[in-house]
Amino acid sequence: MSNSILNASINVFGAVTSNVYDGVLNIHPKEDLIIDHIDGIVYLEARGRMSSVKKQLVTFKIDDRKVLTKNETYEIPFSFNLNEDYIESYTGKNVSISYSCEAKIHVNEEDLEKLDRGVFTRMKSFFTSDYSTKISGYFNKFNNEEQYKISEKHSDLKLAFNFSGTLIIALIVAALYIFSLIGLNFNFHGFHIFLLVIATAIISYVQFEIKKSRIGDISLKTSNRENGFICYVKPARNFSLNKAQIHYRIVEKVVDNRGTSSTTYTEIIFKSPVKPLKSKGSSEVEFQFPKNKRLGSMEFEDASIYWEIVINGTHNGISEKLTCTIDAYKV
Amino acid sequence: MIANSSFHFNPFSGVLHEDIPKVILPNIDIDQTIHRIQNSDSLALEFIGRQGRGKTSHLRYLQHILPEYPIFLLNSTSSVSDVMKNTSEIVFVDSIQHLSFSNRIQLFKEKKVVIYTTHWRRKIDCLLAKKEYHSIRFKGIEPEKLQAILNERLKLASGSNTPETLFSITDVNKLIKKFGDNYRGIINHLYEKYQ
Repeated sequence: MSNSILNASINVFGAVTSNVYDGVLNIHPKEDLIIDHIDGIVYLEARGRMSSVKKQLVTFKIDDRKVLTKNETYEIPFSFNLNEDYIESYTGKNVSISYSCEAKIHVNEEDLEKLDRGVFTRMKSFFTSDYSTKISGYFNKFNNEEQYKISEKHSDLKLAFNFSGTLIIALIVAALYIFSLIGLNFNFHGFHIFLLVIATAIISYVQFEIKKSRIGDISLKTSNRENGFICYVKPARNFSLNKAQIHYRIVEKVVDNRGTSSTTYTEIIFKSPVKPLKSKGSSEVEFQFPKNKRLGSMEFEDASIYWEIVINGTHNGISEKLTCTIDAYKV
Repeated sequence: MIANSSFHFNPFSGVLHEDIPKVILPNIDIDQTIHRIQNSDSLALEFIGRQGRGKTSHLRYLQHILPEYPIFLLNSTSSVSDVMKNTSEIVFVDSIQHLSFSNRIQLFKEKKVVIYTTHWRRKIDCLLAKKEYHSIRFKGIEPEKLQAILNERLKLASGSNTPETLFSITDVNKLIKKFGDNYRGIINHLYEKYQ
């Protein structure tokens, strides 16, 4: 509480039932004051390495007209409903999702002179004069569901682009150019660099497509189990990836669209144990869900959390990775 | 400078549109710029500079002062029709490079005043559209100004005018030595420390 005429603090205690939240507003005036009414507003905030967002979710009435005696402390309990479908609070490396509850105390116009300007906000709407002071507090929203479930589906794993392969190609192209420069005795020109970049991009693309067809297809079917899930991995006949291993991971992704350039930040926030796949034929691998129950799939503005199945192995001695995403929710 | 837990949120996270005036220290003459925007019949006002120098923050700040004119934060999926459909003759456009050359000329021709951010000069576009061109370059950093910006962020996140810790000029000079005039680089570096 600050040292002003109208001191106030607000606390939200958390969900009493699945979607009803209890809280208390403490008010301690240093002068006799008349309050016309007190409104409550709940916001969802997402802040991080991105364009931060604050969305108004719920408005409710905390109290009606109230006459406050100076130096008395008033505890005004309140409650509000918050839809269970709203995402849970989360604090990650690149984003934090939180909820705040704001009390808007509308002081009677005749008592305005008693208030110090430091804490007081005068707002005017189109229809009437609105005199209010605001106080807010943060709280966490966690759903009561205890268990993860994944969406059971068939999907194909996709080969991830390997930038080390592109680097090798770039080095080979650069070396060939230097040898040509010396051997064929022609002059360097800036335009050659542009051509070399184009050549590297084309060769990388062609090499990636060839590699993709050589490694072959592999499909995945997921199925829920108690405290975990099973991956049925079915490679095509021509599938060729040595020492193949499988795991799943949970990834936090934030796209920073602020400013004139865009940057994507990803962070692995959970990684399961790695399990081997059979060298030939289908494999059935069981995984446990993470103990942390607050990592379900979600997407909000420029932030998301997704679950990803990863198969690692080697092809022609080079490490390769195939991935596909799965949706995980809580029940 | 040590991170502490007395903040409601990370002081170096993205700033809400409503909070921009609380943390910005304008590099430009705001009154003169507003006068120029409101009293010109034909103007392309360019905010130019490298990434992370404050172009977009200034654009959003100006729009915050002039909320009657819309702002378009363009990305790779944006089209010129998003901007054209709006009836306002004065528009703020962030990242104008997402529009094609011909679309930019169309935009400059149809709107009376366009205030935009860019990495590259758009003087030729303006010449072809017969638009008065004025460019403001965002470059350089002043330690005192950076110190004030960082401390304003600490105050905003702590909800107090006297947070437990503040940046000293020595702290700020260390940051400038490492990141130069890249405000975004500095803010991102501090975000990690405070998260």
